[in-house]
Amino acid sequence: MKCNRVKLLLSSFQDNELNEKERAEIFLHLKKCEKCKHEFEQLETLKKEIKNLNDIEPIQNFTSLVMDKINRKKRFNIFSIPSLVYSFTFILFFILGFLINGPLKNNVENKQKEIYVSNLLMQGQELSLINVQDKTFNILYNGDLNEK
Amino acid sequence: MFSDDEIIKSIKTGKTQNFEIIINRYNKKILNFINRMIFDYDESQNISQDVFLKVYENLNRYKMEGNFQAFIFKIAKNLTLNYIKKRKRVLFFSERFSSDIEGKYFRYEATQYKSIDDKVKKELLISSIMELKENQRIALILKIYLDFSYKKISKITDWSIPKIETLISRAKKSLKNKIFLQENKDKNVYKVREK
Repeated sequence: MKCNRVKLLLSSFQDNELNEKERAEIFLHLKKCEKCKHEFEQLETLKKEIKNLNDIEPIQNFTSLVMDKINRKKRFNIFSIPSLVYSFTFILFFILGFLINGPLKNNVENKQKEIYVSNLLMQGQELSLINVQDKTFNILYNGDLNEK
Repeated sequence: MFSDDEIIKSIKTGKTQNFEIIINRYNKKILNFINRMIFDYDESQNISQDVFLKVYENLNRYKMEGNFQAFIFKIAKNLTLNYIKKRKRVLFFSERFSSDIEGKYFRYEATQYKSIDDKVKKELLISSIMELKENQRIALILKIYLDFSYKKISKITDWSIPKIETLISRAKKSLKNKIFLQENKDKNVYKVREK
């Protein structure tokens, strides 16, 4: 094996990632070639220095901190599927309740009032008794109230 | 000692507290893998906590193939890369902040140098590692610090084995050139002074 080829494979040789044949060839080459041997020694020194960088320690209560966060998330996970179903149902009932007590109810009442006023008009009764401030009632009478 | 898969199985069946075993088994390795990527004590502690939270949240995705190490380091790698991208954006907008971060590279082991020479050497090594491209740094640290095989690194990173081979080889070459070239320069300076 020539130097160029050895240099190309030297990193994988160091990482123990070559097949037996290639390993044996490089091993033999390093015994003979001082230049490649020197390069390999530099790689070994580098590896040792990287490995020797000081480790840091996890903060003292690392495990309990993480477990607390997990338990808190579990309790208040509003985005979980059951929570979303509950929330959606609640919002649906809220909107339905609002519609029934608000616009829908008013519509029914207005319809009843319209019928009541038209009955009064048909009977020729005084319209001053009716609250003309109410917009829904205004449309039912086009004449002048005082004239009647 | 229970295997990772046995512990994960028990967690999935409701024994949440067993996740403590997983944390205690991996926290130091995860923390130091992250710290060798960013050399920032505080951020490494924060990111490693996030790693375990994310692992817990994604346990259902783990298929119990006896490959939990690859699963957890993949999450660690992704979160660290996200942090690096975010930091780059911050650095882009604030030059003042940049000097603070450079200072942090060396803070994590400030009191642990044996000598000034040792300090200079380690600082040079750290700054050279930080100058590597992120992909090179990931592959190098997974190989040298954690001693993972190229196959395992491939599972963590989703890169092909030839790509990993090239990344590691280039990273070593780059570090070797910087460190040994600098050392030779220093030796020459000493020689001139001695004369």
